[in-house]
Amino acid sequence: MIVKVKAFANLREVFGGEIKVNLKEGAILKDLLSPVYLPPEAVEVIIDNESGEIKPTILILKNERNIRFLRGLLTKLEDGDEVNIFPPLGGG
Amino acid sequence: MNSTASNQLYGYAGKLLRIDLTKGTVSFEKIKPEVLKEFLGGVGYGIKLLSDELPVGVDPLSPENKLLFATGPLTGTGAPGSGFAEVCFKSPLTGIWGEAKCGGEWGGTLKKAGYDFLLIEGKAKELKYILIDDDKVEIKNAGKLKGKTTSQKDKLIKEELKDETFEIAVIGCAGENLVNFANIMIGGRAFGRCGAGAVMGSKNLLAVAVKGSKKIPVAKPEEFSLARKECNKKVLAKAGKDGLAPGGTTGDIPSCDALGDIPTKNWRSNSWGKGEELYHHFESKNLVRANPCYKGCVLRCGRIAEVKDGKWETPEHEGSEYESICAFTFFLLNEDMDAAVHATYLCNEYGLDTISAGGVIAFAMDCYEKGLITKKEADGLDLTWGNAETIVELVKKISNRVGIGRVLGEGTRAASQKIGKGSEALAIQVKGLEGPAHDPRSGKTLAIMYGLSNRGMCHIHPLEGMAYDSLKNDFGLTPYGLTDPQTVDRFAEEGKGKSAKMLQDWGIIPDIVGICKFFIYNGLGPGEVAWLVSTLTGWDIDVKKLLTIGEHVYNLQRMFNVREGIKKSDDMLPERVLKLPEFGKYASIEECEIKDYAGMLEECYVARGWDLETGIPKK
Repeated sequence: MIVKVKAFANLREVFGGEIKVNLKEGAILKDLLSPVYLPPEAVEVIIDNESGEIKPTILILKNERNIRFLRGLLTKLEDGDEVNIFPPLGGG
Repeated sequence: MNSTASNQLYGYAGKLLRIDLTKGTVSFEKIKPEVLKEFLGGVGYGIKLLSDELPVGVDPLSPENKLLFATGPLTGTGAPGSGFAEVCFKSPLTGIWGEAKCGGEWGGTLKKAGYDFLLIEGKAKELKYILIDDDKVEIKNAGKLKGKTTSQKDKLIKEELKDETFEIAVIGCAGENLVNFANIMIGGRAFGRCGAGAVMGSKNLLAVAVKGSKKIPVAKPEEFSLARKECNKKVLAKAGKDGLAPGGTTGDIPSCDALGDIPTKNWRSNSWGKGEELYHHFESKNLVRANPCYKGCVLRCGRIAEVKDGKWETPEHEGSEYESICAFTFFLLNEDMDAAVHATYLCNEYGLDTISAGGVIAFAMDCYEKGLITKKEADGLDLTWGNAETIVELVKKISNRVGIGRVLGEGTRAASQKIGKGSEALAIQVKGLEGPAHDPRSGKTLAIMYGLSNRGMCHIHPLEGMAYDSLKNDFGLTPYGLTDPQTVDRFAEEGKGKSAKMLQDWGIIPDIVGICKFFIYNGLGPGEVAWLVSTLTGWDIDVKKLLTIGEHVYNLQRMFNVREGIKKSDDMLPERVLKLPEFGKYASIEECEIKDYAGMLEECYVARGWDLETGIPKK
């Protein structure tokens, strides 16, 4: 299945913008956020090395919904999903 | 050093400069230290003075209205964000509390000239500008400035004074023509909203030129210097070494579009999906370089933009920040970024608020689509969505109050009342102020903050709501009782009214202590601000005190509005803003609809101690 992943703001420099990822059926967000599918530098920015959790300053939306209010890293992914990853945003 | 015992004021010049343009008089008034201790400065002192001195029901464009330019204790001191100035007045656009802020050196220069505040009263018989050079204050003839653009006025005054170092606040033809949302410009930056420029124009005042050489006394110099250094370091650590440079807030467009935060097609949607391509064009073709507004700013949000050639050729200028660009693209479905840059440049030159301009043009285009404005009524212009030529032409007509520009220049609320035919539903405003480029369907706290912002549907105070919900920014307030935003779903509605109260009380503090708000978004927390203000003034100001002052000032502004006729019904949002978007990514995201605005409003009233029936503060 194909999932579209997009990075925003200064994460684009690490990530390269938008990529389409081919995942196995039944994959979850944790599978996606790994060096298997994403540039290792991007994973380093997103995932805390020690805890293995998404860093609290990183915002991830799956189809416009914050994954922290879905199932976090256990959120199931489906064909056609859009995952948007935002670095700490200041606002203004 | 105890400033109360010695009556020596630290962090302040200690004087109000009062200029009566009717009588042609200038007076220098000492400010009571206890007043400054209670209100600190900025909009805090502004609400105190204007509540006391403005007659109830005063006509905003009459000589009886007053224009107060205000600084705060931290202004001009090198503290993070200290390039700041505020102007307070009764707004001709809304008929209630009006305020506008502007970054740059003007405010600090006024303080160094010896004045924390400048109050303009009355109306001159002929066009004038004011010269302030330390103790020398003159009301000078300005006849030859009439009709000139803001940059021309700036140049001519500097030539006359033979001194390029003056900081000059000017109005353009929009202010001279009393357009209800005319602004006051300082270089390429603006006291943007609520019609400050019209009030200045109604007094026949075209400019205020300031130069100052005095020092601002500091109560605890070594500690203040340490506080400044440590706080700037903290901000840099949060924002990164480049701060917001070089794209400034314009760089937020792709993220905000993806978050469903940009009102699109007169608020029919909250996301267009063109954010990436529009910003890509801006970044590669229009952005010249970063341009910090004051020396030493570590965030550097300002930028220089241009259009090199073609139909919309535009010289290098400060402008094209997030709000202005969104107002001329997303609001209007205009994909021509060069035209949008050009439109914001014209607004600078004519002295017109870009947000209200974009809002009123969106209203006009919506009316046109529905047949409520005909082509004939629009002076033969085709007001189809996205028509770049029409957008630029309307900016000119509004600024010069010609043709359809006359009615549009009154603002969407007044224009819709004149046009009628159900167009009121298309006027997206609260209390008469057009909505800015942040959509509460991306995060519901913003909805309440729009409804209750004291100058109307503005982003300066409400934006903390958006940052709380969508960007998970707690502003350092979680230790003081704010619900951790990481535990809060941006689409939830319960609890948002309560959170809004603390965000309102804290969010107003930069406008009181005299600093740029971007710093509280980037690591400058309540403890840091209290540290800076205490070591500067010598007063014991802790976080609790700051939040109490913020609450008090917010409530006083509300009381001003109540006496000017505001009712609970004025706290409502337009229907369209609450509804599911008509198109775009979020059209199928049911949670983004605002379902219980009344409940959120009640929750905020309770949190603020306001009467549930009337919305009036109980104490």
